[in-house]
Amino acid sequence: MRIKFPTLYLLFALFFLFSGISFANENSPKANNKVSDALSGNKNANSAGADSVLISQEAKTGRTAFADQTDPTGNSFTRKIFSGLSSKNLRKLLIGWSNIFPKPLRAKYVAFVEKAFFFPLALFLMVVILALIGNLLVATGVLFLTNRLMNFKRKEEVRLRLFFEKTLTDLMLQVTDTRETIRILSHPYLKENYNLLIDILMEFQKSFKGDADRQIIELYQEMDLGRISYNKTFAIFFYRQIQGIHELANMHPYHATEMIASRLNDHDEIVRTEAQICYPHVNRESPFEFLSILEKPFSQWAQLNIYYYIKIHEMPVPSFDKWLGSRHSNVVNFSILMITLFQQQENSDRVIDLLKMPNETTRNLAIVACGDLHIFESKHILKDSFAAETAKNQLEIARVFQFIGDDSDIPFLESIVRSENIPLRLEGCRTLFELGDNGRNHLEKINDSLHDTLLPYIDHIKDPRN
Amino acid sequence: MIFHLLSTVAEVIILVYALSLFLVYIMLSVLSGKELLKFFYAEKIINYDAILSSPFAPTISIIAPAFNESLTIVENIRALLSLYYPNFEIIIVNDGSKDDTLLRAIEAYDLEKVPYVIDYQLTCQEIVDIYKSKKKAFNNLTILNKVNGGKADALNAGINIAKGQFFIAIDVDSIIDPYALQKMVLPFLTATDKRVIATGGVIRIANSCKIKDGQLIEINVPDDFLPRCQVIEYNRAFLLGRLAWSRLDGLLLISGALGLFDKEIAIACGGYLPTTVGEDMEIVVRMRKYMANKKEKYSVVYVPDPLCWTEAPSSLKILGSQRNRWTRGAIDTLLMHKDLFFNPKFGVMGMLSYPYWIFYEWLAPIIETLGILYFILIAFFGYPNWTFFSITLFFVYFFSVSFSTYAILFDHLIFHRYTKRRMILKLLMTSWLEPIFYHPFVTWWALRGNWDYFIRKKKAWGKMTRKGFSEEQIPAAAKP
Repeated sequence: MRIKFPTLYLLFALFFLFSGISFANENSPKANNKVSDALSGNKNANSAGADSVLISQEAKTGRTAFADQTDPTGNSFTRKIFSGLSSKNLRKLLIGWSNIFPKPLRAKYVAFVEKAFFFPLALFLMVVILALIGNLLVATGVLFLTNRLMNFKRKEEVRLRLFFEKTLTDLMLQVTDTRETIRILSHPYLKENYNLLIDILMEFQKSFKGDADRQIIELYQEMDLGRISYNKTFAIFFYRQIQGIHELANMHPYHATEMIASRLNDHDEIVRTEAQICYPHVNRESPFEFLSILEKPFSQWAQLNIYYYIKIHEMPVPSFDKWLGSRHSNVVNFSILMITLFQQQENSDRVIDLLKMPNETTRNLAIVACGDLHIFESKHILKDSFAAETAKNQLEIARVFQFIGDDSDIPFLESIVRSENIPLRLEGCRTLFELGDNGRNHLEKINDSLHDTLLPYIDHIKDPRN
Repeated sequence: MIFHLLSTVAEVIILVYALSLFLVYIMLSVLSGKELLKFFYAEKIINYDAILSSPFAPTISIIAPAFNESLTIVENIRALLSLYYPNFEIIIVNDGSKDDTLLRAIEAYDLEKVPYVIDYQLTCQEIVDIYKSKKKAFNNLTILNKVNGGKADALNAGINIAKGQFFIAIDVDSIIDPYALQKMVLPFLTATDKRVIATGGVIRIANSCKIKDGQLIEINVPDDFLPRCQVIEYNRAFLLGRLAWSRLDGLLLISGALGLFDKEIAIACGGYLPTTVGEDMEIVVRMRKYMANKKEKYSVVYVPDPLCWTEAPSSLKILGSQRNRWTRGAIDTLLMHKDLFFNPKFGVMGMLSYPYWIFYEWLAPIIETLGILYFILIAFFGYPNWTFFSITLFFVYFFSVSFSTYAILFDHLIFHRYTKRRMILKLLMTSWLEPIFYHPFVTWWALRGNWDYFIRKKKAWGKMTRKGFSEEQIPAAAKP
């Protein structure tokens, strides 16, 4: 672990810079001679110090820092940069502040300000320092205020959540009816917290089925909360738009169908993904139709969420062969996964065709599907393509023969076991072992012929924990 | 005349250096602010439940090297076992511990030796034994016992037996947020136009926090000054620095305490380099170079959520040793990959990140020290303008404090972990004191790191002992 962020290295780097400048400023060009003299041991070089006293005296006469002054530093780079800066008012203001200092320090403070105003860079820095101090005070104030506010909001949210949950539970348990619940929830203070109420309604809707589910939706619609959700979909912030999409998809699907369909290819990746996730909610007749009109890649995140939604709502799924020819490889991959997970055996032929696809991941998923769907017809193709496959897919082929292999495949598996590749060898051993007595006997024979060098592999695969 | 010329040149160089550094910091802060806001809003709408019950969730192997961790190993494994993720395995690599780390783990989790054939895809010291539990409840736990070879070597050993598509490298004594895996894997799942090769999370300081059974149950600001300074330092580094580099797609470093990597790419580029002490940075640079050479679109992403809590050194000696090692690690990596320097072939990494590391990470303490020496010279031979000196001192001081304050503010507004007023006050006070009492030490250790690297040719890790998260760390007020 490492933290390298030298915020403060600058500190002394700037000392270096400005000390150098100030030295040059105050004494240059004589100062330069003075240092050279000092370095060369010239003891007569004292004039620079005298000059600096003179300059300070000029400053004390009240002359504006740079109004009528020729450049005393001659050729300082930084001085030239900042030489336009000057402010009588700021100087007066700062001197005016001397009253806040104790009497003995006032004179020193005024001298300090005067001296500082003599150099434009110093003036500039002083302005920046004041700005930074102001900024710090504001930031500190914001910190404390927001802390108070956030703590209050957190507590208030807990209180309101409890209240909303109790009110809705009463409705579910028929302690109160919908009309009474609406009356309670229409309190002006509660109206300001309808976003929280919508969140809780969605949570309830996920948890309850049947009548309770219907009641929740009814309440949402009767309270006209759909309007709030709909307005959110046009908000400036993407997260608001997504919240709106989610709420409408869950609570008011018919109202949201068109709007969600229009966001399926949104330019914003997050909005697009969320619209794709919500689409099956709003179009239960053909929840995956959107796959046909996707213009941009279909993220794994969207796939994962859609599967989650299907699972929790126990939704019927269509045959996914329709999308096996999609131009987006991730739509094809998703379709293979769904075919595998929902055991759509009727698509076996199409899955076999995919074993020849150029995309490695697609082929990999097709190989897995061949095993999980027990597509015995794929065996020959798998064997034929084995040599040309990638290492990852070779491993997968060796594995799927556990599900589709039989005694006739022993020679093929033996060739795998005799390979030099350790993972392949392990997988080959495992598959032979899983084929039954014939496979196990053959494995022992191979081991004998290899002078027991296969023994560690056999021990490895025998332990189910490996 | 010559002196005048030299001083002018020095002025110009240092002015440009200082201004560019200011500018870079301000730019990074603005970018980080934008990213943090985006993260904050995105977090409100992400439904992590979908990962928890999904067969689509990729397998993750957690690799935790352990060396002499006898005191905490049982607790640490328990904490890892309780992470919320559907599909993960834990690989504890006992890197030749001299204490009873292995024995304690064997006893606590009912482990036994299993026959195992190891495919040494990455070179590492000999793996002596593999242990697995007899209990089904711990079927995702593996302990690997190997000959000592250092952290990088232990990680390579872990990768060799990892089954996951991704692996996460952690320090076994760190406390991982229970939701860390799902949050860190998210960028891998959402990316469509490029391959995410690694993600990192924010590391936080756990000193003085209340910890029970390896879980963080109460967050506190450290009582000691040194760890408190590190809280500020970590906030600045993670929230105002790395996040911005992630946005620019120029992140070169993922903390060794918590990083999730694409195993295929890590193996393809040779895994961790055992000969460097900066293995965490080096592997990221090498993985990035590998992808750039293959001309594949990729990214390294930072998740700004505080996902890992670690114990910060609370003594100057240990902290010094850690910083010395960080400096040596960074120099080693930078020198090893010299070909990146302003090389457009490597995009942002070559044109921005690498030069930034050279100029503002490696050379900064050296320039700073030269500045001090030069100032001493001026003070000795001439008359430094003390007024000017004071003003610049105040300017830089207030800039630093502002920067730290903003780091605290960002953290507060987005995560709101330190909820009590006295906690905020403590942090603010520390940010005012840190530049004066803490920063000089950091500079000194960085210089020592340079000295040790170039002159003493030191390659060792140095001592890194921790107190451990014990009852002692529970503040009196928090005790029942």
